[in-house]
Amino acid sequence: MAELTLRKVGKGFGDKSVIEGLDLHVASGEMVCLLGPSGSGKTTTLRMIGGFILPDAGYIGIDNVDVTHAMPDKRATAMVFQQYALWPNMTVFQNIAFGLKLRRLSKREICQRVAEILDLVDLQAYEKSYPAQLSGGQQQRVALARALVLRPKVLLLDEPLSNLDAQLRHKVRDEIREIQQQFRITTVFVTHDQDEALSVSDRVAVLSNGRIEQFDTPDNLYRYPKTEFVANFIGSVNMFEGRLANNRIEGSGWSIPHPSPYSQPLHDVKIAVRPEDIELRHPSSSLPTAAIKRRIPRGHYAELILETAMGEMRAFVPNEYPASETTGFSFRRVLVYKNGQLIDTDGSQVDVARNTSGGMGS
Amino acid sequence: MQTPVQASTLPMTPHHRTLAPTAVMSKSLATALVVALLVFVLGPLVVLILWAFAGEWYYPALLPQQFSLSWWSTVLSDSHFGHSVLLSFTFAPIVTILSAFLCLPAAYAFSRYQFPGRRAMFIGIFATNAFPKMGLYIAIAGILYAVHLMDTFWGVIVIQMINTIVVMTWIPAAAFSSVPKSLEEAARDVGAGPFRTFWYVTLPMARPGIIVALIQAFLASFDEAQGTFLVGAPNYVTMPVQMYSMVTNYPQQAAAVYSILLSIPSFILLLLIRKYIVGGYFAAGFRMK
Repeated sequence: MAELTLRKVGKGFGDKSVIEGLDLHVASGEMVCLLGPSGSGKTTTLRMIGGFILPDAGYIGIDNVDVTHAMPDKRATAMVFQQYALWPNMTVFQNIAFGLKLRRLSKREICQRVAEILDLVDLQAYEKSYPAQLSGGQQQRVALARALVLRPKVLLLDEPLSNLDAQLRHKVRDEIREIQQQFRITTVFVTHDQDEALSVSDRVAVLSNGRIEQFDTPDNLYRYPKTEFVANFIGSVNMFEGRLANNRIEGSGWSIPHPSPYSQPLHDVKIAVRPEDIELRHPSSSLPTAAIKRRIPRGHYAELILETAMGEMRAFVPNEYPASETTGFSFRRVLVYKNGQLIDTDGSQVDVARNTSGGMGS
Repeated sequence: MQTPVQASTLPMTPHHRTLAPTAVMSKSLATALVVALLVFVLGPLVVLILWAFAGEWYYPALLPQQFSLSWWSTVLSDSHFGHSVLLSFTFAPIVTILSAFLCLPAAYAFSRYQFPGRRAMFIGIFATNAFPKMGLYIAIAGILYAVHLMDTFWGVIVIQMINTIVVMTWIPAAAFSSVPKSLEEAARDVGAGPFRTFWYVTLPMARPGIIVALIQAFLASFDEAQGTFLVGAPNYVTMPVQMYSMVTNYPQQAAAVYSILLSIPSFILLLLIRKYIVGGYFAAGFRMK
């Protein structure tokens, strides 16, 4: 159980800044995911926490111990590498025992702890195997065991699932979460897969261009994406431009009712609507209309491509919805962005303070 | 040696169309070239072995008229022989070990760190092989003379090490480069310092390349004659230097016996590292960027 703190951390390579003024606080026992497109700085951040890259500026602390400039062997973190990085010249047992041997534990204790951890990852039978003899999933579990056996204060996972096939990925993902919960081990997990991030983390930090756009629970990220970037990055969204006035959202050739808390008209806003928040209605004069261009079966729901005055939009509807050529529609819920920031949802001003700490990119 | 016969024995009748005439031609040409190469490489060796066991062998006979082991006893009972063997087997290990201590850290630096002039230095090491050896030796001999190392044990060590620097740097550098960085990082992560990371992870993984380099260096030192003669004569006469005087002072048979004796260690060592050479570790040394 340990908390991890990053304060105003910065890192550049050459004259290119990769991370700028990054603040992150991971509570004890929490699992946090760093999510972002490639080049967003998520791996650099993880490697700075692990000590493989030293930051140019800022502070990194584990339980209030300053480890900003400590080498990897001098900090209580353990990393599971993307390519697993198992030592091919050592058996599974030797791989896991190596760190314990360096700590000069007794032979009996080493054997006992390795056995325990092999039991945990269900690899008891492979103690004497070499990494090359194991499948990708098994290698992954050895890498996890090698990190966990040292009882680190902070566990670091660098895209640990990216080398597994889709089915195995779900299974291992759940296993990792289960083990994390069982030991309540503070964990930082890097991925570019939002599905992975949302399903295992307590909180997710969405990174873009070396800054945290939003640091929040998976539910909040989806319901209240604080920036346009997050709205686009998490889930799918229909985004179009307009203005807010007279309790309506208006654009060229269209207008929908929307209670506005602002006394002045607001120009150049962006409206974001999740596909499941588009409600198809009987056509009427008070509603905008859409032509249904295409219906894409998605299993337990269907996706419709709509041609509207606002442009092309995607809607998720129940399977039984009868496909007709034109329809009226309304929005159950919209998100309004001004200068890239969320200002309004469901007709009420967004209380920025409600969203959790540490995440504002500005 | 047999001449290639496949071409003439292959059925070339019009009924037999499975092999196109051009394919047969190129196949038999390739076979002929391989055989020619074998004759070129192995032929002198066969003649050498015949000479070593020949008592009398006069032109134009294809085989010696008389076989004999007398030249073996002449060579083996020579008063200088034991001394030169001892010297060769003293110099070669010392040169190899010193070269390893000098070059392996350099090889690691070349493979892992970026520093100004890295590439120029890496290629520059090859310059020791690019110049005519004798010119280089005479220049170094001048220096050795100035520091009173001519005709000394350590003078010979220095001149022989020149020959080992390229293999001892290039091959291990490629071997170190082939060790993924993340394996070293993983070792640091579980608590190993830089030295233990090198000892337990990097070195074992680079071992095949290093073994090849060690043996190549050993052989380079063991077979070195020119520099050793220039710096070590008359007091440090190793086996290859001894062979020079054999060639000039004795009949052909004695030199043949001596060169077979000299090639035994090389042969054994090359057999030992055969799988690594075939495995491409040697070639990898010349692919380093």
